Amino acid sequence: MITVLKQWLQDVLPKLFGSAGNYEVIVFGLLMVVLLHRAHDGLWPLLARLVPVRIDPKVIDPHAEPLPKKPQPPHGEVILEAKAVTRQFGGLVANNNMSLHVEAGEILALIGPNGAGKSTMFNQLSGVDTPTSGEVLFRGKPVAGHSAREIAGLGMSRTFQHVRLLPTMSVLENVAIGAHLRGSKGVLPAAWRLDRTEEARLLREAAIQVERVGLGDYMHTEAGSLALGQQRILEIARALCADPCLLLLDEPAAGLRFKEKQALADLLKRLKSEGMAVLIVEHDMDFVMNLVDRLVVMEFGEKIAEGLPEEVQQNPAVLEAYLGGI
Amino acid sequence: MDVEIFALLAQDGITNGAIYALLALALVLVFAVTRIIFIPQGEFLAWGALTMAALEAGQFPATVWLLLGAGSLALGTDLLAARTGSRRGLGKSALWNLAYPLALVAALSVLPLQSLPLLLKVAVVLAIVVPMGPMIYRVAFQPVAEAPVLILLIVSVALHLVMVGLGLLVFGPEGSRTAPFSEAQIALGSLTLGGHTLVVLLTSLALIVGLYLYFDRTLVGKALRATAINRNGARLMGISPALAGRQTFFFAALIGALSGLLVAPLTTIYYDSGFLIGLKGFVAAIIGGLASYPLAAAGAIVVGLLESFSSFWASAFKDVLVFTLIIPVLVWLSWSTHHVEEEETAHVVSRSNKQGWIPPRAVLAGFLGCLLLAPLVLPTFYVTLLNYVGLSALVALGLVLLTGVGGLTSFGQAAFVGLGAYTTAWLTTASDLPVWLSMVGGSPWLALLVGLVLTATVAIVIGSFTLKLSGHYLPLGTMAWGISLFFLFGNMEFLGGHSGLSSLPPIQIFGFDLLDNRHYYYLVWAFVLAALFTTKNLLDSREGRAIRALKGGMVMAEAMGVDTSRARMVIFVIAALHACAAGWLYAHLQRFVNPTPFGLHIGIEYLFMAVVGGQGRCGGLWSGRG
Repeated sequence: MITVLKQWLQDVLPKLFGSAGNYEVIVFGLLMVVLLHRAHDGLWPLLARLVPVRIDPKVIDPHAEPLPKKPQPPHGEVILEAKAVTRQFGGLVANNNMSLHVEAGEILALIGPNGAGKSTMFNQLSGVDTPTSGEVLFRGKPVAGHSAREIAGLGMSRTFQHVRLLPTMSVLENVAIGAHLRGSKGVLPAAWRLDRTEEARLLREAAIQVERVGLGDYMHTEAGSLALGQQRILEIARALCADPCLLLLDEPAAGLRFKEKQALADLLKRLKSEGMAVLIVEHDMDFVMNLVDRLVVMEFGEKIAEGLPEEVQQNPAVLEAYLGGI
Repeated sequence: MDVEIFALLAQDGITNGAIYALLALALVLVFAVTRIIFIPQGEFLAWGALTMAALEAGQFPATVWLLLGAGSLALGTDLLAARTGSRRGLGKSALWNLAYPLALVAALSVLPLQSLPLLLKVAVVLAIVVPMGPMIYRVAFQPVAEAPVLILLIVSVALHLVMVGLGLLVFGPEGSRTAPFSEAQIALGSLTLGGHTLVVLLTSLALIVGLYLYFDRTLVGKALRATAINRNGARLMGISPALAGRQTFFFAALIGALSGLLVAPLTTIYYDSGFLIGLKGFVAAIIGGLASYPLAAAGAIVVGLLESFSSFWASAFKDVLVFTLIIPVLVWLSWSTHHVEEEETAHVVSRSNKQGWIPPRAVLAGFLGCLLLAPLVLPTFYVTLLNYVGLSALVALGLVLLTGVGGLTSFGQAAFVGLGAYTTAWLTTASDLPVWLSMVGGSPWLALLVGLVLTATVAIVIGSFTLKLSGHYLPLGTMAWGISLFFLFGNMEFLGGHSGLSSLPPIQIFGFDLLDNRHYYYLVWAFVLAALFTTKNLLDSREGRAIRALKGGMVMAEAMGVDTSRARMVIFVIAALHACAAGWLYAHLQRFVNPTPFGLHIGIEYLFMAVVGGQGRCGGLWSGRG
């Protein structure tokens, strides 16, 4: 179109203005500026509106062979263990000598007031950041300092505090990203459609996970049009699609309504009973207390309490941290 | 080389370096405050210089009409905005945008321009050129101030085109040189120091110090700095980003015009000289990481010195050397900077989810039918045009994948086109190929294969150090190697220099020569359709989702197990291969190659196509193409 436009401008403008000068460059540049002011996304969306093409949803083959699953570790096996993790930013000690562990088939919550260092701890565990000292063991293997990608490959999967989805992709496709490591076909086979069997298996797996978290009705909806709560659930489905044995959830209940919270709690309990280990960083006390098996409480970068929900609720140090003294 | 030449070159280098330093300063300033990579910075320089030349020649400076035009446009934009918003400030806008230029026109028409003292002439030039800065910001950038960096960059490139075009219109194609500010010669031992050199150095120094004081000591300066650090925060504190933007552009225009005045006595300035000088300022700014003023100034001196010394030893490769200087710097930056997740707010596109009724297959069939029939019914001229449309489409398709889907911007695609074109041109025409290459000589198809392999290799090498860079470094880096490759094509003896290589053989298919454009049409569009087919499939797959995940943030993609650096490399290489194939087709369509169609401007044009066509949607290329 631009070639045509330029040719056309070169033809027409000299007739309008006389022959001197290269007006076409000026007009062309002006047109570009105006166009970008009017339509950020270019002309395609405008043209697409003129031709109402039917958008066919992706076909999910229910008979595609299921993807192989890793065997879940037995109940009670220690999945993730942090030993004396310390993280300093210059002089600031964000995490000091933090230790915790998560077992298969349990839900552990990491709680604490704002600025307690929960998110930093979360980053140390998930491979986004590297501890200054201390060890993080995932199923017995040291993972501190390894890339998030390697850690994901070992079977740890996470969600984000600020939802990170691709808003223009469908729910199904967003979830399918989670299964990235469970496929192996590369670029060339994909370009020539030699990957269709694998693709069908990946999509089926994604569809199963979407159904599992209860978003089945929105399978082909654009992810960006979901409510925030649903987007959080979608992130969990995406994490599940990686076939993990440990889920790291960063404030999954934030922005959820009561019913949604209940549904989330049910989902997490079901996962737990299947042998999944879950680590939650959370603010919402009610949600946490009724759901989790154990709690680790942080303040000023340190662990101040650990134990069953009832114990922690009675712990004076915790009460002080949360209520500012008794 | 003896001491005297050395001193001479060094003096030359430092003088030019001082000017680059000024430009670099302006660029850093503009980028920091408004996130605009201000390509037209050099145009202010050219306009300043040429306005001065006009004054010296006793002509009425035509830039004043440009000022009047820009002012009316700015006022018009204000009026349009006032239709919906408040009417406050309209009077002031009319004063600055209309009354001031008119008053200037009146004043200039009575003043005896040629006989004015030098300083007054300088003042007149500044009075004409500098107010255009804020006006241009008002018209071109303020309405899209919140857009992503890429859109701002494209707007800025479009603006550059407009300004160069206007420059040609107003000043004509002749270059000018103005009288130096000082004719004095100061002897220091065996070395003579030109008076003008001193003026340049002192002015630059004064400006740098002045800016420093302004930003460090005044409230307005601090407000600008605050905007640079955090736009939203500054807004909450009552600092208007629009005002900050206009102020920044005022300074940019001031610095530009001043450096134009300084550079005009040193070298002949043409209407389009600003671009190259501005780009060298860019190199300096990048050395400063687009953030640090002192580093940028130091970088500018290095650029100036490198340029002057390399012009002594290898003058043909002067520009190549300067622009490749950027590459080690980028490598160093990519190693030393911690990768920070850029928090650019993803603007969610509200796509109308209206369900259409036309089945996609029908659309596809209609499109294919039109393609098939086109050469049979259209006149030759349009068939030829469609051939070129197809070539551009091929390149733009790669760019849509790279820019729209993957979020990486490349200005250097034209260089890859050139790589493809020159490989086949050389292999099929050269009579004295080295032995190990002689077996592929002569056959276009083998040359295509060699070209693709070569392009992939080059892309991997270039990609391995530029792709690590995030955000704005990448487009600048691609600009650098785009220019370097372009100058290489023009300066390689065996590639025919600037006149190029000619009499390429036609492409044969099953012994049938594709001489007619109508036949060639089918070859071109076969390539385009194959590229479309593969790209669409790729995006609709596991790897495709990984590529699309690049835009959702690196942390997310990595946490899902996507190797993001590999995904970036993949699309970079694919885009380069598309470009290379287009170059091969181009070479055998023209049956002649020269460096012109592979320059930076064409690279920019390809990016335009990708953006106009609607980046992001695979479908975007249907419309953006051509």
